Amino acid sequence: MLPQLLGGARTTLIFCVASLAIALTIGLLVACLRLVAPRPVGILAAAYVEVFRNTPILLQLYMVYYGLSQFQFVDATFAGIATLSLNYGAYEAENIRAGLQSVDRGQWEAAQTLGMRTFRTLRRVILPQAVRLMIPPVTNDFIYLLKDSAILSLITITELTAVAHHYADQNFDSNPYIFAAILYLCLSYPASQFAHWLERRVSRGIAGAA
Amino acid sequence: MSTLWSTWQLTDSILLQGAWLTIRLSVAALAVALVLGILGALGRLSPIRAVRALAAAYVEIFRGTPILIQLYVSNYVIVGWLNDRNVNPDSFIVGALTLGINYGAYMTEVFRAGILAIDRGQREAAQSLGMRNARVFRRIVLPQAIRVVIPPMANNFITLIQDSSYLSAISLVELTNTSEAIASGQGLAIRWQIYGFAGALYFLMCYPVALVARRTERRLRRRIG
Repeated sequence: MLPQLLGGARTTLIFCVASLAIALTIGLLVACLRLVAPRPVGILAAAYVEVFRNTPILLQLYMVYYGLSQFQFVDATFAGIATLSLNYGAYEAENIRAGLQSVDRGQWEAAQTLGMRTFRTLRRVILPQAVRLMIPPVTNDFIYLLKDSAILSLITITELTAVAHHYADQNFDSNPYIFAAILYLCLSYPASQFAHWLERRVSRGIAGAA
Repeated sequence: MSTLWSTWQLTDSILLQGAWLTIRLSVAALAVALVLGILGALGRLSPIRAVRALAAAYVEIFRGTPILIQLYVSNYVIVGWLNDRNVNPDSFIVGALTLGINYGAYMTEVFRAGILAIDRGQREAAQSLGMRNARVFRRIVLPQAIRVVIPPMANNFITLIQDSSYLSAISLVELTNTSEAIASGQGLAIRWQIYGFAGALYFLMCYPVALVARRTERRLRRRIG
């Protein structure tokens, strides 16, 4: 049973890393649109964030998996990664926007004075400074993602929760749940310690700069 | 447009019943979470080392594992054990308690931050007036801390409402379960409309709470600034 559980943990991790990567891409795009794009586009981006943050991820998963099931390419893997990415894209958009906005206004003005365009300013001046501030909340979201990925077990993906539930159900045994919980803790605890450490470092950095 | 209306007429009473159960579950779970959150925060700030360790373990275990696993443990393992002893708890109670215990871990951290945010001088002033510790906490620290914790508390309440959808996995017929049940037999167009209705109902529950959070946050920031 333990090898299967470890295999499930591996699937969980793969889904989470892939989804976070896509979510960060979506988030960066949406955050930049909200800050610099013309108003209608900005409103659309804001609507995306509000809709995905204010409805349950489980409902979103069912919408993608069952609602798009007549398309050939929509299988459980696609639906799972798409849902996790779109949902977390909304949260990352807010993290990234908060990071971008916390960079001093004078940095924008200075870059403009040097003749830099908006996009170049974002990429060369603002983003590098903002990334430092984004890392702790993004790490925290990764921990949430690890746990939220348990919903994938409800659409037949054999990640950690699914494997545990399968063995528990089959043998009327509660141990698989305990093992699975320990494995989740093994995945999330180092990440949470890392986030704490980063937070301390970042706040010290700000205090030092001031 | 007429189809949207007819779909709503087809489903409204059932969907609204599901939404009502979602609201009842969320409020019950929030009540449990608030009580556990205050107790947990006191535990984490306790002068006794063992109590601190216990509270920290509670937070790490319940924040570090998926709600779905916790639900499976409570609904199959613990309830199964109780059933063997002829105790049959209502699934509403099992669901609300599990969700509440889970969010109690998050609320512990929220309250801890809130209590730590209150100036130490407030406590010392109250103590120098001769107040006992319990009274200082209840009369001086808690009332001030609650104001600070309203925004993060509201944010947690929003995710709690959404996470109540997990309770569909232990066959509570709340909003997500209801919409999935009605949608499953339908064609694509109607299915999307039903999901849309469910999403809109969740939005109607969550967005007001988000507005409260944002407004309190702004007001607090103004006061500090």
